[in-house]
Amino acid sequence: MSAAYRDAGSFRDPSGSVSVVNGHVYRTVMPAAAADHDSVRRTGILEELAGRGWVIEERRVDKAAAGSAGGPASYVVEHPKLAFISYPYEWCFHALKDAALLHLDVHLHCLDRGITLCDASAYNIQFQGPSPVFIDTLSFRPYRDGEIWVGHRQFCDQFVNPLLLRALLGIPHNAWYRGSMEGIPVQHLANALPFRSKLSWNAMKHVVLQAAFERLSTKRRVPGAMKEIRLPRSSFRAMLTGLRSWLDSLQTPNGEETVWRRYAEDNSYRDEEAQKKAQFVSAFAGATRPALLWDLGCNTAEYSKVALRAGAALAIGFDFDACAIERAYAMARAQSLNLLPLNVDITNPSPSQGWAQHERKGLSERGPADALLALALVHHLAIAKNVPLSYVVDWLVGLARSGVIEFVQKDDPMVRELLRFREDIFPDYSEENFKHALSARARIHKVERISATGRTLYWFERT
Amino acid sequence: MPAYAYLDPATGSVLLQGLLAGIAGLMVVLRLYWGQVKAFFRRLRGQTELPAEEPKVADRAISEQTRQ
Repeated sequence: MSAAYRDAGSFRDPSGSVSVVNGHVYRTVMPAAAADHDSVRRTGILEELAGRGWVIEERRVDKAAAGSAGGPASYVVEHPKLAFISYPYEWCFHALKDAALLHLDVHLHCLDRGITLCDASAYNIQFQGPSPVFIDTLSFRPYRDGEIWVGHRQFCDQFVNPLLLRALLGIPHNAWYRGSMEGIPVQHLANALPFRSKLSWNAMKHVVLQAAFERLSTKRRVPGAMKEIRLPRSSFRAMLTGLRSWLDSLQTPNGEETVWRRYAEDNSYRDEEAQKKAQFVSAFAGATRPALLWDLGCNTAEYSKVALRAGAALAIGFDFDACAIERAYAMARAQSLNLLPLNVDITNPSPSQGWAQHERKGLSERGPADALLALALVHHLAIAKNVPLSYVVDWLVGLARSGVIEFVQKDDPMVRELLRFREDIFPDYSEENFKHALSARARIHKVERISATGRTLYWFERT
Repeated sequence: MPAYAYLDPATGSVLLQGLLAGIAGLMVVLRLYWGQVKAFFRRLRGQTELPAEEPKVADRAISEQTRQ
């Protein structure tokens, strides 16, 4: 990657754009937006919200720092660089909900100070560990008396509707969101909602009525007087507070919440195998001290926690099990771990997509990580998903400079379970072949057998 | 593809906010249904043909309301 590039996802708003130069993140503020941004800055609200951890910090720097992007700009600000960018279609329900609540809190706080947000994109929120932070400081602009909430529709598509999909219909938002990228359209959700759900005043307003008006406007000429619709500040505020308390009350179905509470407590590693695994991971993380660790197939991210306590700075967990990710997220929040568990199926990771297929980065584009954990994972890829063992090793070693991979023998009860109802078409699945494939691509630093069934941990360092 | 992709995607939201804001929005919404309302009353009175004239009075009423 070149030392200076413009962020491919930063082009929709002509007020400015984000560039990365030598690892520093700069935001240009163009002349058309400079007066508004200046007046927002003068209120001191950006510093105040940054102090609360709600909005990313920014400081004005010399225009030349942003390279060629700084030329036409009125001025340039620098933001701290985030270690990992994630997208709403990778977040679990509660992460999306926390992001939505943060957006509303920021907006409410601003509105009281005469400032509003010009959009409501979920991509303007990122996570630092399990804590959401608002990253687009050009979204802030002075509030004009009586103006409507321009971001309302976007807020519904990108936050409200995906949350309702899970809370009211039990369908995780991730696959749909990833496909559409801009969220779930209000008309589509209105078609899917059962009659009973539509009876709530909030759903009636934000989903049913909005969808009905949308439909109506496609059939009839909308009167020009629509431009003159005014929303008193008190009504604006009431919309935000009403949405806030409604979204705050949403939960995943089946009472998952009560199960998570237990994860707020520290789980101990009871059996010997888990203890050995934790010790190995701890020794690895202590020695490598990775700034960014990827925990693939992380489940409830217990070993991410071990790595974080041993010296990893930030862990990103990936698992396709939505319930496990919710638990891991709840644990990260409750125990203030610098951990972000994401709902990603690593056999089908997030692609590069959007405009010119660059707007939102695929998972491998967001790497490499400094280190990875792939515990009890290889047999799922090689046997349950039929991925040739050498492909699995190739992919894993390509993701990080060093890591721990667990090899599970074919006669392990878990592997036998995978093969119970199918023919064993995996003659190449053996520790010998695994070791051979790994040593062809990396240096094996340490090996340890951790169970009677032959489960073995391999610590590799890429050559 | 949903039909709104060809139009301003925020129309539904704007109308909703107008409705929430009160009478100004309500009048705009009513204006959209005005033709249907008139046709309904005409049917009640046994009239079948629509007059060519646009409901200018209603238009004026809306702009007066919204300017307040």
